[in-house]
Amino acid sequence: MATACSQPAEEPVEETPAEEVPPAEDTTDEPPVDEPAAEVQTKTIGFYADAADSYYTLMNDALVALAEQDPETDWTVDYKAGQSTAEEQLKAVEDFITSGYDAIIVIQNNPDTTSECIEKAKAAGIPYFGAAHYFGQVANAGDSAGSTNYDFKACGVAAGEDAIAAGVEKLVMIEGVLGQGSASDQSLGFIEAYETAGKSLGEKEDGSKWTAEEIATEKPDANAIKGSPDLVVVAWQSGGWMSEPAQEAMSNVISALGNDGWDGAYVQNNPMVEGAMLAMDGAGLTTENYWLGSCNGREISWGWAKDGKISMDVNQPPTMEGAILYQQLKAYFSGAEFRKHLHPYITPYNQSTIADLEPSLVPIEDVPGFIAKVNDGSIVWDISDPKFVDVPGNW
Amino acid sequence: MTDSGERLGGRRKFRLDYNLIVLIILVGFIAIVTIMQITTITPGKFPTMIAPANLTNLFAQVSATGIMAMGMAMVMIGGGIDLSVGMLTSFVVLHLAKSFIDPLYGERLPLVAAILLSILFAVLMETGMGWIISRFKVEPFIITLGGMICFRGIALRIVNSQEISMTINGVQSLGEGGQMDLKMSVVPKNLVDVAGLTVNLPIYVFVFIGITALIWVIMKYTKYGRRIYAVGANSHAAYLAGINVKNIVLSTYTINGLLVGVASVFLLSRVNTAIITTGQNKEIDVIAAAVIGGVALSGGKGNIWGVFVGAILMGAIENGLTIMRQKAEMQFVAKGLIIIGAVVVGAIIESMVSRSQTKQKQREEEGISEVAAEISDAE
Repeated sequence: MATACSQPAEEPVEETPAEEVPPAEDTTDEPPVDEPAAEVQTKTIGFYADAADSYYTLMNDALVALAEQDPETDWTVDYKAGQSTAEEQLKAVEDFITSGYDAIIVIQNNPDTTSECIEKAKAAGIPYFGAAHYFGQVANAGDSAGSTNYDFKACGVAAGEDAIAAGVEKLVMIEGVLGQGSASDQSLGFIEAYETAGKSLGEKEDGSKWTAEEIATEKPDANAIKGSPDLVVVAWQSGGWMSEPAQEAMSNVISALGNDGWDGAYVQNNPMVEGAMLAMDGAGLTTENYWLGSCNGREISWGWAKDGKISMDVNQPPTMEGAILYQQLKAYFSGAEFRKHLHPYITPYNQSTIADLEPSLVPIEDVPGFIAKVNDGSIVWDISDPKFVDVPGNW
Repeated sequence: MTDSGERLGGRRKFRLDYNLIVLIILVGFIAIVTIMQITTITPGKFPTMIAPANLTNLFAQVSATGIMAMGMAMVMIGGGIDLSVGMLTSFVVLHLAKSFIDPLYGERLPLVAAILLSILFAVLMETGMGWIISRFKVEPFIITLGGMICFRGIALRIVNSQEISMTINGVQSLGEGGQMDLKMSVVPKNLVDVAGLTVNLPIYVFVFIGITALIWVIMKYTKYGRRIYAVGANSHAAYLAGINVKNIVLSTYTINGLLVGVASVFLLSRVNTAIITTGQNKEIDVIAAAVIGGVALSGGKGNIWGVFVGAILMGAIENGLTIMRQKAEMQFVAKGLIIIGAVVVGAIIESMVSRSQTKQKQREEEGISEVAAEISDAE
C-alpha cells in the first residue's frame, strides 16, 4: 500500500517546509494496527488535457496508478484530451461541472481561459486543480484548489548553463509550439542564463543592448544583432513537440546555415530532439562538434546521453506531476492541509554526469517503474519535502 | 434534401424530410443521455442534461461555430467551400488583441476600432479569395487551402508567434467590467436552476439565433437567396438564365468573411486570450455542422434551420457524452459517424424522392396515354 504524503524525504532537509504543511512522518508499508481504518474516498475526477500528448497521458497514468494501489482511494478519473484550443478547455470544464464531478484537473491552454474555468468551478463548488502550466498570474488563481507545474524557465536556464560551458555561440532554437508559454519560457530561460553569466547578447541598430527578454519575445533576425555577441540565435524554428516536424526543421536549418553557421541546438523536448538527431545523422554531424540539448529527460534520453548522441537533458517527469496531484487531491478530499502550488524538482544531466545521476532520475514512460521507485523510496515524491518548490502567484 | 413531401394520387405519402430526421436524432440523443442519467449515472438527481443551465451552456458553446456555419452554408449552397475559416478566426482574434493591447499601428487602437478593423480584414481576405475563385473559375478547395496556410503565417507574424491576453489590470476587456461586455448574461447573475447549476445565457446566443433567422430569410424569401441556390445547383444554367454567377459566388465569400469576423470576436470574448490555436480545426466543425444540416457539398441544396440544428447536434454530442462520462475518443467516433450517417441518409432520401418523382411522372404519362387512348377509342 502506498501511503500518500507520508514518504520520508530521501535527502537531508535543508529548508523548513511551508508553514501549513504538517511535518513528514516516518512511514511503514502498512498503517499501525491500533489506528482506525481510514475512510475510503469514492470520488469521480474529470481530467482535461489541452492536447493528445504522451506527457499529459503519463501524468494521468501515474495519478491513476497511485490511486489504484491505495486502498483509501476509490477514484474514477475520466481523462479527456483536446486539440490545443481554449474553447475546448472551457467546454470541457463546463461539461465536467454539469456532469457533477467531485474535482476537476486541467492542463490548460492559456491562463486567461483558466481564470474563466476557475470562476465557473468555484461557482459550482467544485475544486479546480491545474497541472503542467503556470496560471498564478491570473487574479482569481487563489480560488483554485491546487496546482503543479514545472518551471520551464528553470529548464531553459539549466540548458543554457550547459551550453555556456560548452562554448555555444550560434544557437538553433527549436521550440515546441510557437507562442505557447512552456516553449517561450524555455527559450527565455536559456537566453537569460547567458545574460546572468554576463555574456553579451549583442546590440541593436541604435547601439542599445539586446536583453534576454527582448530576444525571446521578438525573436530578432541574426542580422539585427550587432556588436560582438556571445550568443546569437541563428534560427528560430518550431517542431510542434513532435519528431518529424523537428527533423524537417533541423534539416532545413542545416541546409540553410551550412556546417559552420551554427554550433549548438536547443530542442525543447525528447521527441523533437530525436528528430533533430536524425537530421544531424543525415548530415553526418555529431555531438563531438555540435552541442545538442533538450528538456524532458525520458528514459531513452538517459541512453542518448551515455552514448553521446545528445549533449545534455533535463529530467522533468510528468509522472511526478501525477504524484503531486494524487497527494493534493487526497489531502483535499480528506480535509487535510497541503502545499497547494508546487514546482516539482528538475534534474539536469549531461554526458559526463549521467552515470552518477541515473539511479535518482525519475522514470517517465515506465509508470510501473516509477511506482516501484515511489514504493521503495528511491526517489523523493512527498510534497512536504523541500525539494518541491512553492510557486509564487496570486494564491 | 429539402422538404420533399408530396401528395400522390390523392393519398398522403410518407413525408421525407431530412431536417426533421436530424432534429429527431438531436432530441433522441438528448433523451437517451437524460434517461441514462436518471437510471444509472446519477440516479435520484435531476438529470443535468436537460437542466436549463446545461441547455443555455450548450447554446453558448456552439454559438461561434454556428455563426460561422451560416456563412459556410451560403458558400456551400453556392457551390463553393472554405477551408480557411479556422485560420481566419485565428487571424481575427490575434489581430484584434494585438491592435488593442499593443501599438500595432503606431499606437493602440480603441476596442471598437480594433474590432471593426479586424472584421473588415476578414471580409477583405474572404472577398479576395472569392474574387480569385469566381473570376478564374479555380477550385475553391485549393484556393481556400492556400488561404488557410497564408492566414496562419500572417497571424503568427503579427504577434511574433506569441499569445496575447485581453486582460488589463485583472479585468477582461471583453467581459464583465471591461470596456465592452460581449458575454453579458441576459438572465440575472447567480440564477440557480432546478439542478443546482448557475444559469448563464450570454448575449451572443441571441446574436447566433438572430443571424440564423436573417440568413434563413435571405436564402428562402429573397431573389438573391434563390440565385445562390440556382448558381450552386447549375452555374451554367444560372448564367443562361441571366444571373451574374461571378458576383453571386463572390458575395457568398464576402458574407462568409463578415460572419467569421463576427463569430471570432465573440469567440475571443469567451476565451479571452488570442492564440494561434483559437481557430485550429474550426473549419472541420463548421463544415460538419453544415453537412449534418443538409447542405450538399455539390451545392444547390441546404436549409438554414437544418444547419442551426446541425451545429447544436455537434455540440450536444460532445456535451452529452461528457455527461455520460464516456471517453473523449468516443466523441470523435460519434461525431464522425453522425457526419457519415447524415450524408448517407441524405443520399437515401434523395434517391427515394427521385424514384418517387420518376414513378409519378410515369403514372402521369400512363394516365395521359390512357386518356388519349380513350379519346381515340371514343372517336
